[in-house]
Formats: sequence, C-alpha cells, structure tokens
Amino acid sequence: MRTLDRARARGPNQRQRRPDHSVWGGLRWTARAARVFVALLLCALSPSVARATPQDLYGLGGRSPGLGMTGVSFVCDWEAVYLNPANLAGTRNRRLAFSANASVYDLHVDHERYPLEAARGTTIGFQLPLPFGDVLEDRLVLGGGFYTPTNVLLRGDVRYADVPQFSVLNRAQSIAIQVGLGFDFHDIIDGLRIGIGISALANVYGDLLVRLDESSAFVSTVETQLLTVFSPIAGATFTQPEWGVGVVYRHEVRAELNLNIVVRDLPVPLPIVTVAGIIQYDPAQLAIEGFWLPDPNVRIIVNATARFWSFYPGAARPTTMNSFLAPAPGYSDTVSPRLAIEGTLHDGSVTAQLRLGYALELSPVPVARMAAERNANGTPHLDAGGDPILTANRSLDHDRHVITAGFGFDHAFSEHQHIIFDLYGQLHAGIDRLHPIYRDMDMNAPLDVGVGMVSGGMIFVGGWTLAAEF
Amino acid sequence: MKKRSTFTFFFAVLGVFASPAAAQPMDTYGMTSRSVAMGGAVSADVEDISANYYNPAGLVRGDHMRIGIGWFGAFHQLDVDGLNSGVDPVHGLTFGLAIPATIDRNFRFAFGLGVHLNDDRLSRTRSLPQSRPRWEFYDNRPHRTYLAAHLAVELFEVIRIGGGISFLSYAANTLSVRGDLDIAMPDIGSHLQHEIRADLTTIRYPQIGVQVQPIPELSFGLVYRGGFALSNVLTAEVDATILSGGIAAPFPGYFYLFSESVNAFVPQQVSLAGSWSPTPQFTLNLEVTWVNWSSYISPVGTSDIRLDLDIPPELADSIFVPTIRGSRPIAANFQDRFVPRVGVEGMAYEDTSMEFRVRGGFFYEASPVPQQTGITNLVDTDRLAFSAGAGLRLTNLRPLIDGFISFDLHLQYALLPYRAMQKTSLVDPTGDYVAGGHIFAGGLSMEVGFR
Repeated sequence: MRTLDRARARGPNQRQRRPDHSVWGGLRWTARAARVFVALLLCALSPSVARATPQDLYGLGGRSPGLGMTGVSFVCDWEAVYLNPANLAGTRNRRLAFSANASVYDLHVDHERYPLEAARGTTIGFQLPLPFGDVLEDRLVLGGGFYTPTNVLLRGDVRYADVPQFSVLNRAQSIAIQVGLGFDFHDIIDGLRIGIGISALANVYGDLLVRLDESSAFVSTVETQLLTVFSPIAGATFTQPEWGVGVVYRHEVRAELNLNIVVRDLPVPLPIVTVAGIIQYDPAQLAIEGFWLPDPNVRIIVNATARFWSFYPGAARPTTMNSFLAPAPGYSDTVSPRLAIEGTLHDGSVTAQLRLGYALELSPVPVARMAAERNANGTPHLDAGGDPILTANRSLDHDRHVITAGFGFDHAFSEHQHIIFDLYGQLHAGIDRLHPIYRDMDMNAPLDVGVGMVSGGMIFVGGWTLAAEF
Repeated sequence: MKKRSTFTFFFAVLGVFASPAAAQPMDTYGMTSRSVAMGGAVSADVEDISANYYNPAGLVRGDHMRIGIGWFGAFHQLDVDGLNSGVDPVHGLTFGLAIPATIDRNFRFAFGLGVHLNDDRLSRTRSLPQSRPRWEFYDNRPHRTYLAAHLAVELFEVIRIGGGISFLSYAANTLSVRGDLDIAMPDIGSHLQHEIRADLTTIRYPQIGVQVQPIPELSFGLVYRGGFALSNVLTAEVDATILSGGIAAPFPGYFYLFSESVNAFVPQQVSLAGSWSPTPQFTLNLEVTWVNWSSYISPVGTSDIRLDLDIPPELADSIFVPTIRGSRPIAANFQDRFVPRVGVEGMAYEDTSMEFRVRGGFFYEASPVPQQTGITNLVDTDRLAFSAGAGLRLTNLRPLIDGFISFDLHLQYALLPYRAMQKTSLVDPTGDYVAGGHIFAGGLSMEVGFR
C-alpha cells in the first residue's frame, strides 16, 4: 500500500519543480482558472455535450461529489447504487433524477499543456421502494443509475508505451450502467442494511478480413460483438440516530478490446495482427466510512477508500505472435483518505445544505522510466549478453489534493413530494512529479541535478442534479 | 398550482435532456408475451412494461406500478436453394418498469424503463461481401441490446403523451502499427506493436407516442420511432521496417486500410392503431405501421487500401506491387412498406382472485427488398406471422402484495414464402436461387403490479 508518508517524502522534489509563484504568476493562474471555470460551466450547462462517467474519479450524482466523494455510510438515494447499495433501503420515497457533470483538464508535461479531452456526461437515476406488505414491508428498494455520454459511450485509448500519456486520468471515458437492491433489517436488527448491485460494461471482440474478391477488388469482411461484463458491488451499513458506519466492496470493472485483422492477397505477406488491450479499467475497491452528527444539523464524515491497482495487468497485448510488450505497469495499491462536513439549514418547507470535502488521491502509477521490455509471454526481453533490454515507459500520473464544495436545496411539497437540486464543484490540485527520463530521449535522466520530465496539472469538475421525489 | 408547475418544469427538463435506449430486436420479434401474442397491434391500449417499446404514452395509462421480467427465443429455419442458411437463433431476457404517479391530485405522469439483453451478446455487427447471400433482416440485425427509458404525462384525462430520446453506438477504431515485418516468416519473425483509439460513439434517435381514449371502450394510438444505423469504421496504418530473411537490406513499407460498413439499419416508423373493447371481456386491436425502408443503407462495406513499398533492387523481380483498389457498396434500393397488424384478447375465466385471458394475433410484412438481379444478394421474402398466447393474473395477494402478479406466454410462427431471385447476367458468380423458410418464436413473462 502506498502511504501518506511516502507521498510526503516525495514532496521536496516536486516543490523544487514548481513554476513561478510570483504575483504575476498568480494572476496568470487566476485568469487561466477563470477561463477554465467558464468553460466548465458552459460544458455542464450544455445539453448537447456529454462524455464519460468517471464515477471512480469524481463520484456519482450531485451530493457525494460535493462531499469529497464520501457517502458510503449515509447517502440514501439513487447515488447509493454506486456508493453503497445497502443505503438504498434507507429511503421510503420514489425518486427520479437527472444529473449533468463535466470535468476539464489542465494537465502539463514539461510545462507544455497536455491535451486531454473534457469529460462530460449526463446521468439518469432512480430509486424505487418495492411496496410489498407483510414481512417484506418497507424492506426492499431498487435503484439504478445510467451514465450516458453524448458522443462517446466507451473510449479506449491504448497508446505506445513511450508516448507520454495520463493513463489513469484518460481512462474515464465510459458509459456506466449500475443497478442495486437494498434490504433493511428494521424490527430485526434496527439500523442494519445490506445491499448488492452490479456495474455493467462491454467487451469488444471482432474480426476483420481483407482480401481480393472475384472482381479483383479488395473487400473487407467485418464482424464485431459487444459482450456484457458484470461487476458486483456489495455493502452494509449500520446507522444509529447520531452516528453510522458503512463498508462497501466494488469489484474491478474492465472492458477489453480484441480485434484480429487478417490481410490476404497482398504482394507482401502480412502476419495476423491482433489489436487487443484493456480499454477501460477500474480497480477493485474497498471503502470504509463513518459519520457523526454532533448536532442534528451537522454531519462529519471520515472515509478511507482502498484501490487494488496492483492487479492491473497493463493495457496492451502482443500485436503479433512474437511481438515485444511494453514494460510491466507496476502499479501499486492505494488508500485515499477523505473527510467531509455537511451543514443543514431549515426554513419551513425548504431545506438547504452546505457541503465541503477533501480527499487525497494517491497515484498508483510509478514514475516514468526506462524499464525492461517484455517478450510476448511476459518474460523480460534479454539481449545477447543476458541483460534486459530497456525501453521507455512514459505512463504519467500524479497525486491529487481534491477539494470539493456543494450546495443542496430541497423543497418539500408534502411528506412524500419533494423537488431537490444539488450543485457541486471540485478542484483536483495535482502535485507535480519529476520523472527520471527525458521527454524526447529514451535514456535515464539524472534526478540529482533536477533534470528529467515533469508532469502534473489540475482538474476542474462541476455538475448538478435535479430530482423529483414522489 | 405552483407545485404542479414546478414538477412540470422538472419533467420538461428531463425530457429535453435525454433518456437512454438502444437497438431493436423488438422490431422483428416484439416485446413481452401479451404484446407479441396480439401480433404487436397494441400501440392503442398498451399499459404494461412493453409500452417502453410500443407506445411510451401507455406508461401513464394504468394505475399500477409494474415490474416485469421475461424470456423469449426465436429460432430460424431459413434456406437458400434448400440449404440451411445457419441463421443464428436469438434469445434473451426482457426486463421493464412502468411507474405511474400522481402529484397535486390531478397531475399524472410516469417513468418507464425497458431492457432486452440477448443471452449471447450485447450486439453484433457484421459486414459481408456483396456477392455472398445473406438473410438481411434475420442474420444480424436482431443481435442487439435494447435499453429504453421514457417519460409520459396525461393531459385532460383522455390524452396521454410519452417519449424519450434513444441512443446506441457505433464503433470507430483508429489503429497504428509499427515495428519489424518479416516477409519470409510473417507470423513468427515479425515484431510489431500497436496503438489504438477505439470509440463507441453515440447515435441518438427519438421515440414519441400518443394515446387518445375518448371513451373507455375505445382507444387510439400514434407512435413515431426514429431511425438509426450502426457502423463499423476502422482506419489502420502499418508503418514497418520490412525484413527479407537476409536477401536484402531492410526497407520501409507503409500499408493503409480504411474499412467502413453500416450495420443494423433500423428505419424510421410511424404506427397508427385503434383498440375497441365492446365488452370488458373482449378487445379487438388494429394497427398499421409505415416503415421507411427506402432510406436503407447497404450493409456492404466500403474499403480503401494503399500499399507503399520502397523495394530494393535485389527483390525487384520477386515483389510486384499491382494497382490496388478498394470496394464500394451498391445502393440497396429498398422500398417503403405498410405493415398491417391485428390482435384479439378475450377473458376465458374470471373470479375474485384470478383472471385468465387468451390472445391471438397476425401481421403481414411485404418484403421491401427488390429482386437481386445484380451482384448483391440481400435475401428476404414476405413474412406472415401468426401468434397465440394466454395470460393468468392473480389478484388476491394481500397482505404481501396489494396488486397483482401476472404470468403470460406466447407462441409465434412466421412463414416466409419461397421467393426466386433471378440474375441478369448468365455468368453471375452466385446465379439464380430460391429462398424461404420458417421462424418459430416463443416466450414467457411475469409482471408484478403494485397499487
């Protein structure tokens, strides 16, 4: 596991590389931030654009993202399909929600802006208490959340390993379909709820054959299939009037691409080309959370989310039978500590909530470096002298301080009829990272003299949710 | 009034922004047992979860919150010149929600969700050379997932309107390959690497429906479904150093391939339907659907190929690069069609705790595919589909359920009369042929309704 101490230990180097802290530098940053904020606002308000459902990176819905992506122990609405399906059982009203979010990247490599397309999307969520009677009365609640990008449902971007790339942040462009069912043990063990759910994605498999037809023209025959992959989510909560705890396990979510390309009848024979890789990956996660109400209108939340990135096998697969593979990714498990506070104000039928949150998102990715190329079977590729052949691996990522704020508005028309509006914003302040490799040359860089490739940057996230409860 | 306008605003916003949905095996085989058993002629009176496909306005017709699940399968016996064409069966699960609600005593609305998941795959796209005969409407088009979410509202108690924007995706892949290509031992000796950008890109299409019920015994329906097409686009570049097993020095080579094919085209459709119940125990439904097949896009792929080789003199006699040309599809030239449908439902038994209904239906689809006189071979014939079914509804389930549980089943037989395709050219590589066959389908569904 990565620890906070290790993150702090890397601090001086990163501060050494920080650019321009002068007044003018601050003003330039402020102007840039203002431009980004305006772009973000336009993105979030535009109905015609939507990309990706990065619930792992930024949270799902409108409440949890404003609370430092916490909510495992207490969010009892449709957002619980991702946060913790056990809490679905904590609601008695039906709710239908529409949510829009956008994230804008301001990343850089060697102080040059790294272009990464904004991720924008919309979500439809619902919760549906099942009105059984008798022993099942007020026990079962069904929920769903469907994130649907406007333009790209699923994007896989598997690049050459030597090309600088933000492999974790760029892995967020994906549809998300999540369904959950919660069960309340009231009158058996008051306060206990359990829940299960699934996340669904798709693998893409296909074959392409190019050959000469009877009229001596090259024709292509293509067949592709999308096959469903399901990933389970399971959780439990125990809630008392002034405190509560929750735990949830989310299994890894992965989508793979595998296309076999056969080209015949060319004057030069081509091998069978296999285009394969993992185009979407969320690691398995275990989140534990507790909340405390020191006052009925104040909620304090503490959360720790562990991500098991060490199981990530790397994106690329061998292109031909004996192709060499990029170095092993070497990702490490991470723990993300999160802290949030939510204050509630009441005025007649109106309830307003102010939210603040913080999360430290540690990077699972090792520094970019020269590393051992691999044979198709995964063993190191050795030269004639038995030494590993090194190749550049420029997979980039960095630790992020995530500061969040949110606002909630609830107008109750009656006990069961509400209109709810949530708004949130996130600032992901990345910590610059110095890599022991040059950006343009495949050779090690001496870090002790402060040279090498530097990567880092900010992410701005915003969104809103409008919901009706009835 | 303020509350009503607030909720109206919410649903207007929701309707404008989006609702998810995708693809239609339902176009061919229908959705849920009651609707299929009635020949699909249900747009005027549907109120169960199949309203998500037939007419979203029907979501707000009933008083019950419904949750349904079912299974269906379709098995093809289609042949060309007496040889079985091996068209894959289609089978999968159906799931749906219909959630009507009332706000402010008289504002009625509903939310619906319909899902069909094939057992084998979410979707399949397939392009074939135009000279190879294929059952155009059954070979590949049903192999898709259906996912739809809709909203509906009731106006003036006799008019219901529902709709949503559906979407699915097509694949666009950009591939780049580099490395060493050994032309002496291409599979073993080549060391290539690739990078790829794979996008499943969204396609959106609308669906909107209206139900008008001037008197309880009579109901009318009007539905519009937008059209869409699934595409596969692949752009590939191989920029390699070519090795010749020591015969000559390595030399550069460049290969470019562009392949595009349109698959699973679903044309826009308009259905007009009527439902008449002269007694509470009997219902007669009629429906006609206009299908805009003339906009059909040929599924035959487009391909462009380019090969650049800087061949060294030692190999000039052994490697000859001819003029390479790709292919272009020929227009499908389908024709628009009207599809008439009829369905009946009768109460066979009824008491205080259960109802048992029987159903029957028929529809006729004239083939929109013209005679395949040239090089293309898009095979299709007319389809006459006969269906029957039954439904059992249990209504006395309190205290566990204040509502009902219904079980429905259906069987459907479709006759595809044999059709002769005659070629203009005497040397056509495929030649004349006769095609026809049968399709057998069936399914079960269960629905729980909460009052």
